[in-house]
Amino acid sequence: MEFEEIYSSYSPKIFRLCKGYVNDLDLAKDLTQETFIQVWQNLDKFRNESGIGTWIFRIASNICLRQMERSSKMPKAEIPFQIEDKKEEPLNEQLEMLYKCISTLEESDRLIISLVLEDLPQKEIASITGISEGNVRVKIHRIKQTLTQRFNEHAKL
Amino acid sequence: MSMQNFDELKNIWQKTSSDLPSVQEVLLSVEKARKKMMRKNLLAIIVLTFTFIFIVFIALHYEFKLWTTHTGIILTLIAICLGVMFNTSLAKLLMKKSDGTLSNTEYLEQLKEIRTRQRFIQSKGITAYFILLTFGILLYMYEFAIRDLGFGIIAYSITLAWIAFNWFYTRKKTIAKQDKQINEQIESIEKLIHSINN
Repeated sequence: MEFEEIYSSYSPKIFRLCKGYVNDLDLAKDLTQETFIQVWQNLDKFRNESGIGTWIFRIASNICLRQMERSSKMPKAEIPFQIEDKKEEPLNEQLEMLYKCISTLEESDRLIISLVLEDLPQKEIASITGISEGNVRVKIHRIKQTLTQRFNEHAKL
Repeated sequence: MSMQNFDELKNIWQKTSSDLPSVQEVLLSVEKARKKMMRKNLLAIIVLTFTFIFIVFIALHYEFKLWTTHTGIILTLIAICLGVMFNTSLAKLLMKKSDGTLSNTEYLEQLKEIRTRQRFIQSKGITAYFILLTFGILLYMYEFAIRDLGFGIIAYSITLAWIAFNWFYTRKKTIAKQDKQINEQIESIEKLIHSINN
């Protein structure tokens, strides 16, 4: 697969993953860029033992998780929070809120839920994060519940 | 707003707009990073080569009468080579540090390897470097010092003070800084592995 092809089909997904993880537009862009720089540099190392998607998501997850040690620790968003009063489409408002709710989760949970939202199968999520499949299933169930609950709580405010 | 279930969140999620740089821009930044790395290495090599040539030139150009001067030059040259060897070997390892294809446990292993290597350099490596360089310089200066005793005493005092400052202050400070950094990284990745598996 050509790099151009890979980039155009995966960069929006990777961007959403990074955005879900850091909830910061510029930082998410940087992390996306860094992911693809590494994809490009390591493409010859990729040996089809997993799908290319899984491989790219794994690189992105690693970069996300490890950038924490580079910058100062990213604090979890405070709850209760206030949605900034901007004149936005209701859709954007919902989207903002979704990202904010994700940012209240634990670091590794943010990644897992972002992968779930990307519609990745549990088996693949397990392989990307290095967690056992059984453990992933339990985690996903719990995080889904927490996230939906928080989203609905704040939607009511 | 009505109650949302998780599938609706998925729909919202997909609406994220991303105005990302084009593939050309990404490739350009790859090239930039590569060039920057090369320039850095190149600069170190150039500086070293010139220092080396300069010292060799002095050794050949001036007719030194004492064996101490020649020995001093040789010891200094060995010290420089040693210093560069440590630097490049550590730099190679540090470059691998950003490899995102490594799993968390592999990454942790890598960090620990860097720490081991770093500790070796900090203890044995730097000590050897300092001893060689100190004796090298002191021996080298001897021939000039005995020509003019007053000058010799001043020159020796300044040199020794400078070496002492580096040994007692700069070295200690650098080691503490390096240790802190790598230990923090190891701790944070250990915490990460722990949190992922629980």
